[in-house]
Amino acid sequence: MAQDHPPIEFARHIQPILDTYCVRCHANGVAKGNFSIESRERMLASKGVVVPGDAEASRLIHLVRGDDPLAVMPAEGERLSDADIALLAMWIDQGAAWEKGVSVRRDSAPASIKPRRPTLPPPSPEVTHPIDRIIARHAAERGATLAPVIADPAFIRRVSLDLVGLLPTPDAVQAFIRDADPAKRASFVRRLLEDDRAVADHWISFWNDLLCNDYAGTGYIDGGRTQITAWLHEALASNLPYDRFVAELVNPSSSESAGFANGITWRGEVSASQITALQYARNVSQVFLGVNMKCASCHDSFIDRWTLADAYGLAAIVAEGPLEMSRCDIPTGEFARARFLFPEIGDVDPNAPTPERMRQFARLMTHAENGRLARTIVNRLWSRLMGRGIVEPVDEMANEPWCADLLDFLAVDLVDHGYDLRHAMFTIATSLAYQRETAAADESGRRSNGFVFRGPSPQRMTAEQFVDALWSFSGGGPSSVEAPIASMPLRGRWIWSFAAASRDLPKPGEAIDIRAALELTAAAARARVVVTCDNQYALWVNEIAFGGDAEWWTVETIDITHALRHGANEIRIEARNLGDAPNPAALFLEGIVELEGGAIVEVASDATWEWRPTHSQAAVGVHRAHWQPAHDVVEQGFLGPEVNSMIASSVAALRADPAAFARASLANADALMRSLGRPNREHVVTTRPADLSTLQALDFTNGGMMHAQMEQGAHRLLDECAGDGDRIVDRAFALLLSRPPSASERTLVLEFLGSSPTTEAVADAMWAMFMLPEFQMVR
Amino acid sequence: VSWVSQRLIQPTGSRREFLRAASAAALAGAAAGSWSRSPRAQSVAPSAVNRPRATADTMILLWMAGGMASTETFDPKRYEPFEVGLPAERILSTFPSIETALDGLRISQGLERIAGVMHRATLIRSAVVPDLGNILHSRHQYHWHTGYVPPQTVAAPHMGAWFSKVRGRGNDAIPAFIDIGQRLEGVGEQEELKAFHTGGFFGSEHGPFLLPHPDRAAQSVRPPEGMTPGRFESRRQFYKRLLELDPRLKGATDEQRASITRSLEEAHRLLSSPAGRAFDLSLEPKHIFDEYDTGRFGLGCLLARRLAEVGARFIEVTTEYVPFEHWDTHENGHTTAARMKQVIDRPVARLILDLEERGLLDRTLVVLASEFSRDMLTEGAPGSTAKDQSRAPAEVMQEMIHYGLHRHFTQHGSVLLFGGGFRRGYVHGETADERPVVVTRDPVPLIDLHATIYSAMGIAPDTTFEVERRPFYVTEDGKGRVIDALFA
Repeated sequence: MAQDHPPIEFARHIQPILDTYCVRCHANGVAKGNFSIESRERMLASKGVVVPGDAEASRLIHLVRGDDPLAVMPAEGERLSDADIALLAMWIDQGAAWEKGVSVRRDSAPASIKPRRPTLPPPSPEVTHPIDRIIARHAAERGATLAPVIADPAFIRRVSLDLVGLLPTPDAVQAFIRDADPAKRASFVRRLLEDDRAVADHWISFWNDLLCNDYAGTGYIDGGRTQITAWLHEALASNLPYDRFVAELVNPSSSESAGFANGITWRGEVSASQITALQYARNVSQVFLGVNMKCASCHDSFIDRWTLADAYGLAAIVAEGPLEMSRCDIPTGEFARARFLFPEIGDVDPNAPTPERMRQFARLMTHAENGRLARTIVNRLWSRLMGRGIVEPVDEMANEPWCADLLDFLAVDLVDHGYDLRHAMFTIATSLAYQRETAAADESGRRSNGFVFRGPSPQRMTAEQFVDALWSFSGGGPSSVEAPIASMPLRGRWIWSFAAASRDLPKPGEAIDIRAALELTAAAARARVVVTCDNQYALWVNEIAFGGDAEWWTVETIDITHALRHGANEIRIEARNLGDAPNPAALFLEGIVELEGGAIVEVASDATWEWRPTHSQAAVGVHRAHWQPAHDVVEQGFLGPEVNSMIASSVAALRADPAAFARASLANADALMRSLGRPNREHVVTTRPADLSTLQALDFTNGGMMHAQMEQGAHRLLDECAGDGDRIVDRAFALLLSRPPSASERTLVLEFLGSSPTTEAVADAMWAMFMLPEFQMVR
Repeated sequence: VSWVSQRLIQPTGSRREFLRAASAAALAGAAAGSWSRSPRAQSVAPSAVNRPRATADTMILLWMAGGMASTETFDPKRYEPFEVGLPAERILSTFPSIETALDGLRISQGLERIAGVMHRATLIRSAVVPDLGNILHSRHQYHWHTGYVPPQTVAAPHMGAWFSKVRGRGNDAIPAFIDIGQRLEGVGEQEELKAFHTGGFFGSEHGPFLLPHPDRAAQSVRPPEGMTPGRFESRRQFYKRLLELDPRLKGATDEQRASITRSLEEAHRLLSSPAGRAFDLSLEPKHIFDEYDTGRFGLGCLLARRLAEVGARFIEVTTEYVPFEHWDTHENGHTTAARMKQVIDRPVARLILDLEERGLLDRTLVVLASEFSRDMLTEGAPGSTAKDQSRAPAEVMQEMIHYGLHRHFTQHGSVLLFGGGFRRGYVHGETADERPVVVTRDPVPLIDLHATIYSAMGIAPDTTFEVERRPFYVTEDGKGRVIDALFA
């Protein structure tokens, strides 16, 4: 009967079925149940499983058909379709032929992790960049046409969002377009990457996701988790070489960087696979090596070659004492032996003490022969900048890349340049490959290596990019930085009317004026001050009121630019102590004034400031009291570490860039950011969801925060454009889309705004622009 | 009325099931035709979505947050009234018991209204949860809501997210997973609460629609405050016209761009649907509103009823977890329990009767549960070395503050189920009459309770999704067993 059918071809009909359903457990070095399909010989070596010429006698057919419900294959996951089963049966009936040279084994043993230096295709006059030379050959071999290169406005918008997370200012766009230098794109990329603060502020989100670091989250409540924020931000700002970065994280030299290695300790008992040593094993292997140890930290993996002993081998490197292995939460009685995943490049000495094992491990992670470290990170960077990894998923680096030469080139190039991540970003962003129009890939094959590159893949803004754009549009961002990013000494001092030792505390209700003179040699281009007071203050600059605050546990950053003038200025603060009994009171202010021409003037509260009782407290008919010198209060840190850290971060933000607002990446996640996909960072997150969900859209459409920001931004836009519709349209398109409106867009928006635009109309028009896919997509 | 009939005309889930079947067939066809690989490539691919016949289409979870003591509510033991000098070890219950509508069943004083509907209930008295050592409420709540003890290596979805993912919305204009009463900002352990109030690896599409204040729920499905319906509609029309001018949306487009416009359309549909009236408690007759109004929990029950009427899939109403508040009695437990019973008694009973009156109880499963129970003396479980967290420890009673169940207890617990195909007037399991009050018959581990609930809602306990290439089951390892005795 089998002869009635056309012959089954192994490579065409059978191999895809085996690849899909069987190879996980029965190939690539894995032979579950002692059954392997790596070759015909090995398959037939298991007696009775496949009986050539007799499908009904072949146990394989009974297993995939599920004749015995307790013995069904595949043991995990989706079952074979009836059509697949029929094909297998026909193939066996026809003799189970297996063409020579066809193997279901996808690579010979595990692929080597050593670096490989590919030979670059020769340059041509049009194609010089190494990436483009590789891509040109890749495309030519597949008969693919590459997408066209994008124009200047689209490029500057894309690259600004990608490298520093911010939309380019309209001025920057104009200057860029006018620039006639043929090398201007590379120059612009270089300038972006030279902005240490902006690069760090943007990329800290990427690393926070990867390294389970956040400013609030599970585990902090009872000290089971520590932040690495200050260390991380500094490492990113100073472009710490990646090998040293990784060495520090896997073998921390101080408590500042230990949070990643230490993991999260939950209160109470946790399952065996969640002890912190195994968290370390999983996180280190996933983040830095693209190896998924989640299965293997509980039992030998069903899906790849990693075993329980591998996971525990990594865990034993950091474990303080003997580490008993548990399988599926049941102790095995065996003790783990510290070992490295890739013994071909070396191993750790299991008998060495813990600190020495960790040192050895850090050396192996950053060993010259460990090409996996560089491949994993350049693949992540490529994925971030191009919307799709060269290997997918980015956490499974054993998968085949769609272009091995490209991956291997980027990896050795990173190492050649001293593990300089910004160099890798520069290399990618200056390639024509990066600058092409997006090509929507067929995502149904996201894991397969059959991807053909035509251009970058589409990518939506992250939560932080969207919120930064929103805040910079509205001017309504947070006034203080919540991430403890800096521990640099402050210039400002806590001051009051007297030194206020503990025996001698300020009275409740005491109200004083505190002032400082500020001489400016030019007009102020930008001026911001960080202020807080225990208990209450109001700020005036040259008798222009800037409001105040009555909460000692909050810190405000206030823009005082418009009140300052060339020459003499006065900063005056009315400060008041509250409470029912004498209690500590003090004021803190530190700020930076950027003058026209670029000079910087610092201002900070200290003993050179003066005070006097506020007027309302002076008795009627008595002369105003004289100004007297203010005093440093005795106990400078009396408000506790949280307030002091907020002050430090806010001041650091001013110092780095007086024009910068507090970035979303440095704020605690709010409801909008969470809704837009900023994750809870108790797990390693390497890919955020791509699509906009209905609940996110709801937040956009009726969320109070979104609505308020639109109205605030509309006010600002109306002010800037003096209410003129045409100017509003131009400005809005320049701000949000980095391009001028088309004629039909202009007509449509003007018609909506009406002849004298109201705040409401502008807010609604801006909302519509924020909702445009063109706005929300980075590329 | 029209909402109800709409639901009856289009049985919930049927359209979705059809679509799933159709797309599965299409994929099978594609695979057979092109020999392409199976669609495992998606980050979350269903490996096996088994669908037992559902006995319920909507679930309302009434969450007694903070650890409701069974012996003060649905499993009363020997009553010892307060008196100075009363030894703590004598105390099992601080309330007398009362009769209920079910012959022979007694529950705790203060639950008279619920007692009146107990002949409609299945009462499990033998629910047990794993003892996780030193107690952190939010950890046990995470476990109860996801079926997985934290920490986990992937983000486990909340129960509501499972219903959203597998069964989808019952009404296109109502989010599938609605969470009423829990604030996630400004409360203790808020980060730990956020960790399980999520869609997990199913993504935010299946995350909770949060309504911390039921009396303000209407606002969440209306245009932003201060925006008239006319302005809202004209903004939308303008957006659509502006969108038409976007050259990128002509012809082929990618999924991410498409998801932006599609989701905004969905959001608009939700905000302009008449079903949105269900969120508005002011439309309820005053005497009904007043009957439910014992505070946010009571109004949450009313909101849940209104949402069940329009086909919401999963609604949780919580008494709200705030450390040391409400059911989290670390001191003064008797007084607090008396107050909490006032909070829940009227609205819970009314909810059951209202659902029944409307013919909805048969297909609506109401579950009342808590993360664990409490005891006067034992912290966690007998023999546990967990840290004693009582704030009013006393060997003998001196003041009222000492009188109550101030320790967390994991080895018994009461769960109340109404409707949704469960037996009426049935008590399952039994606990000891003396300390330690452990389960003596038919223990129901959480995993089996979950299997039973999921099964009633049409999801087999071994339903699994693939995440990061590994199977993730709705009950751990797919091993939850359905307790058949609980079904009618």
